[in-house]
Amino acid sequence: MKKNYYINFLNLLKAFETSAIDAQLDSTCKLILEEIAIGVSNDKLLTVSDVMNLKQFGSPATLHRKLDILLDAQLVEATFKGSNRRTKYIDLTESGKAYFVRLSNAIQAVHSNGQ
Amino acid sequence: MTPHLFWNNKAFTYIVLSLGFSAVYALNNLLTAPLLLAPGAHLIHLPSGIKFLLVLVFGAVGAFSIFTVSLCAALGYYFTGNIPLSLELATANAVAPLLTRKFFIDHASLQENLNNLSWKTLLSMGVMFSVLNSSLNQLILYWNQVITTLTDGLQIMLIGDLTGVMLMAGLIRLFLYAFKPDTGQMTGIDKD
Repeated sequence: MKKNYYINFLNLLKAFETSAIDAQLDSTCKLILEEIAIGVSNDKLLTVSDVMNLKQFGSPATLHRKLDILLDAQLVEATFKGSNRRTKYIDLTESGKAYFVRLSNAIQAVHSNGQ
Repeated sequence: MTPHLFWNNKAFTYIVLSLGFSAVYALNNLLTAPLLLAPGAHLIHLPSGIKFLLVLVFGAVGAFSIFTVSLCAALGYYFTGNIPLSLELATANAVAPLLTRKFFIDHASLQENLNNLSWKTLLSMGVMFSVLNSSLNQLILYWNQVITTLTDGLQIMLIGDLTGVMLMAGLIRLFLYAFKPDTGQMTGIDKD
């Protein structure tokens, strides 16, 4: 492909705009994050076991590894509800919420540019 | 000047980059003259950041622009008439960002069109460029007996390059953050 400086420039701007977190998330991480976000928006937090049961996205070992990435990236956090210390729930952190706000804003921008 | 010509005609790109970079270079030297603490070593050197970003985007064309401006500055101002030293310094200035770019493409899986460039990689590249640029420049000055001790100039220039690169990167990020259009609508996820 012919060298295109403008594409290089756009990619450089993208690097300035996106955080390191976005770069390290693969598609499986994003799918799991979306499931967690849906749970949060429905006031029904997913438990760690629920995440392990998302078999359509991969084996439990893979899911566990991807959940660790999300935890390390501080997009989600494991919490307890009340006095129940046996079940861990997965909630979005402020960074996790900001991630979806950013996506939402991007979609809004595309939508308003298209009108 | 059409944007199309700038992005697609190498000769035109070279001329515009050379003129732009020389303006920034001259302005920086004017504004930060008191911070020139050792030969060739500013404590804050914003053109270093621009140099690094130019080569990142424009590759060899950007490096050639830097070579030209550095050569003119060395020949006409810093080391008047000293052609070999000016050529060596200009080459070092052009090669340092180009080598950094090539190293990350060859050894850190960076794509040629920067498609997978992340903020973290950008900062790592900035550090590598600063070390290379200051080392090469100060080694050449030492080799040519312009300076007698290597470490003093090296320390100052390394700090200057690092602050230049980081300030530039920070300013661009701040600018993009400040002027990015905000549609203001939130998803249902943020319930606060």
